[in-house]
Amino acid sequence: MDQSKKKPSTWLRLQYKKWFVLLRRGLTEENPIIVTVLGICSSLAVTNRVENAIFMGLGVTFVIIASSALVSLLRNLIPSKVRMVAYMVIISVFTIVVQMFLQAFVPTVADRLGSYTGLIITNCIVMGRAEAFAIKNPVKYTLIDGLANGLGYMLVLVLIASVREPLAFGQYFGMTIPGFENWIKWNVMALAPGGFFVLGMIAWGFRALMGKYEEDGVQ
Amino acid sequence: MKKYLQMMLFVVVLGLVASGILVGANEITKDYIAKNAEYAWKHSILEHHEIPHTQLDFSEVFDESFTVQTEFYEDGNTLTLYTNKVNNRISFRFFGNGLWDVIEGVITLEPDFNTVVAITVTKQAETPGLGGVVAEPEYLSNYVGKQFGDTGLIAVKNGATTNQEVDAITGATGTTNAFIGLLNTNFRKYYNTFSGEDILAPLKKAILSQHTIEYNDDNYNSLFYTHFEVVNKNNLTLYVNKTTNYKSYAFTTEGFRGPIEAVITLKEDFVTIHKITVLSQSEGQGAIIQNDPTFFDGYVGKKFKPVIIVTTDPNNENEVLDGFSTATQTKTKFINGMNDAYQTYYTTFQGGNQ
Repeated sequence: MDQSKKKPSTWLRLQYKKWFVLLRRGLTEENPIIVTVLGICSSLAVTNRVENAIFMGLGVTFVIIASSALVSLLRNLIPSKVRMVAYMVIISVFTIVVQMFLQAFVPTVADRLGSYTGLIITNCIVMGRAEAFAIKNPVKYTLIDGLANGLGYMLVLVLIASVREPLAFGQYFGMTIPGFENWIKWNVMALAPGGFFVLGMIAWGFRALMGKYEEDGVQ
Repeated sequence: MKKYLQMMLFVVVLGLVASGILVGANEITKDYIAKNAEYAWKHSILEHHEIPHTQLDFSEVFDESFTVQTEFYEDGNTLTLYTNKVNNRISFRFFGNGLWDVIEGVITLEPDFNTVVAITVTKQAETPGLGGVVAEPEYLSNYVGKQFGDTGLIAVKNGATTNQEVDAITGATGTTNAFIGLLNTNFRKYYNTFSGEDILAPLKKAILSQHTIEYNDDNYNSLFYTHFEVVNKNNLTLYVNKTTNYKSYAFTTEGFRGPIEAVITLKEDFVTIHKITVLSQSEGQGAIIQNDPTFFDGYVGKKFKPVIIVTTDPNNENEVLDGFSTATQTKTKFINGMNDAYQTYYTTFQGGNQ
């Protein structure tokens, strides 16, 4: 039997599909928080509860997908001189939509996220994807790229929250963890500095695993 | 030219798409958002009255449990009072300016229209960890059983001892003053409107106190009319003490955030200040003029010659030491208003300009 004539396995073929590459990049090697270090502010601010992290992640994912899709749809119409302004308008629209939906259907979460839902507008990931990807790619790939980056962001948020919430409150997802009934609250973990330490550790760990180091400005 | 047309076209398209999306989202969510906002305060009132309810039936339960009274208040707002049909306890919503932003909440009082049953803050944006404590149930439980009385609640720093005193928030004097001030102002509005009591009562009692005449809730009215002659002229009212000939009048000035109502007593010469008391205000930092009973001590004996001046270095008999701290707007507006009111009263009752 000639080995070269054997069809490559499904898994191997999958790895060369464009959508798979995009998905993998967003989640791992180009993860918005760990690798490109965008969207740090909200990852520190809202990760003291897993529930908050999930809703923030969903909100940001939606805004990235929707705004990237619209930018991509209008990409031949948008005059390049005013494209940044156009991004801002589009992103603001979807951020307001997310804010309205949170207030309508999960008011307690909307309360706890407070001004941070509105601040999705300033989340660099959204603008970054619009400028780096959506403006020059067709809608279908934009949707996947948006999803990948949103999930990559959410993944890291949930990871940070999974460390912070038990340490800060002795709870997970708002429920007391068995054995943590008499947990002495570690206040720093509930505050932004705690998030900063955890984020640093996680970023370090992931970069070490992926072998991703920057030296003298060269990746 | 073509470029500009293209840009114009783009702006129009983007505008239409954006507004379309927003209008759609608003249509879908607005009913839910309104319901959630209603739930926030109705839920708090129902909690105060210990009435069981769920997020689905709260509106019906609320309507069944309370009698609703509405009145228009002189400032143009509508006041709504909710009375429990079973035990006659009353609740109302309060609004006012905190240090940074509006503070909203609900308060429940005993049927005596005086004693606090519970207070909940439903919205605030004070400094987290400092002024933000104002919304915490542990802090607000400090108000349970307190009484507004005639002069309103007073915040104290070293442990409350009387029924009218509540603990201030450590490290948040501005928020404390603003919060106590807005509670007192809201209470006064509702009391005047719904309690069926003499709305001049706070004024009469303040004047009696300024003339150091002892009174209680039953005899203040008769005492007031035996001790004072009421002089009306050009829509102004002057209260003259029949024994000492000291003169009192009420005046309203502008403030940083709303009107300030105060009472002043002058000695028989109509020039020298005897006492000043602030009855209501809605200042933030400047709430100190009502909350600190010693605030106007430095004004005693000072003279309107021709106006009172606030300075950091008082030398003359018309100058007083500036105790307003950072509340500069309150200072300017209150002092100007007080001087204007004095001028009007002096001209009307003494004749001629001073």
